[in-house]
Amino acid sequence: MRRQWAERLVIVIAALASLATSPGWWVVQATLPPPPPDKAMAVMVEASREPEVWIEDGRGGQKRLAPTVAARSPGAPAATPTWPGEGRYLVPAGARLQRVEIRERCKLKLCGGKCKPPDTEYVRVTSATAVDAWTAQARSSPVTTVLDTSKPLPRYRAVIKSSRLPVTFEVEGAPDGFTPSIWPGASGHLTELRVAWFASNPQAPPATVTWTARATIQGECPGPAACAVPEGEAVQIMAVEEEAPDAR
Amino acid sequence: MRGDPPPSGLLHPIALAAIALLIVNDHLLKARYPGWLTGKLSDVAGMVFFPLLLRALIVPILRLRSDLHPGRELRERLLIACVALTALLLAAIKLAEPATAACEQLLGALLGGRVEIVRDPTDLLALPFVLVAPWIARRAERRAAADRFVLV
Repeated sequence: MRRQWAERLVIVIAALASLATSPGWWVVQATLPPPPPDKAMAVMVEASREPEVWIEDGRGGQKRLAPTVAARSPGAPAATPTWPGEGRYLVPAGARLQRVEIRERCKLKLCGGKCKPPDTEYVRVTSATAVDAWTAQARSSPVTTVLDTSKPLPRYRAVIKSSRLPVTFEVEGAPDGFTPSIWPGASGHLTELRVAWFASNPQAPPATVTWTARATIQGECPGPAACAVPEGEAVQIMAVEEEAPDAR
Repeated sequence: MRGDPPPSGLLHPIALAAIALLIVNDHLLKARYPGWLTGKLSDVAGMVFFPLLLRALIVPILRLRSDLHPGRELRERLLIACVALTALLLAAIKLAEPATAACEQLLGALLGGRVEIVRDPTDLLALPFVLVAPWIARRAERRAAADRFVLV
């Protein structure tokens, strides 16, 4: 009898633990402006805390943008110590603004109380202007890889040095039947990424492929006209090296 | 009179440890030490006890039907189905965007607010731990059978 009650108690605890795997978030999202045709877009965002500005890069990937300029807007309330109240973001040409939001983890409430944002929290896109942008690109030396589905597929570490973020990273030269999966790692002055090859077709015959990594950064032109890459702005692929299997 | 229900295995020390690990990891360790290891621990813990929980929730429903009194063979089949379902759920949630989104919506609706699940294929490293569940369940049933034999 005691075992039954103990078991029922454990079932309830296990069920609650499975449901409440993590506390929910409250989220406030800004209304997004329509995208400009084939141009980069400068977006001004006002928010009560640092917003997450996400773009869809046009190739199915998502990226979080860092502000190109962050400044206190006159009379903007409730800015946090790390967020001055207003920021300017550059959405590169070909990319689409996906979401602009602020969020905070709620305290876990299992027995009532919805996870709602406080009334003082806000985020809004105050302006969105089509702008000209410069583009800096770098390519790695060609890398030759043997892809054989009967063996563990190789994984590479790429290190990129860039004057700004985000860095768009692409692999050129993927053969049929194999797909490179790009995982972001540390991001900053040096961006580290991992490129892992996967067989999209497990029956694909072994292939020797020569591929190249390409890194791109973009920035807003200071004036209304197209411009060259400003001095001090650059991107460079420092290394693309295969990781030893025991390093995975 | 149908007698005591068979043990679910959830009182086994490994299952209890897995439940405790899930709670501590989700609500303490992930926030303090975000990283690769804490990202995997909850999946491993879930793989160990979730099939047992699933079966423990289904068996009473089967017992409500007089024609479906779950005997040993049916419980064993149910156990295998729960193990397979748990493994499939993890694989789907970690690999397929629609499955992740559906799970996020379900948990978000139950908890109120937005729940986010990180879709990371390397979390599938936790899959082999699902085999611990049937081992625990069979051990618990053998132990219960032995206890009954001693009592008789």
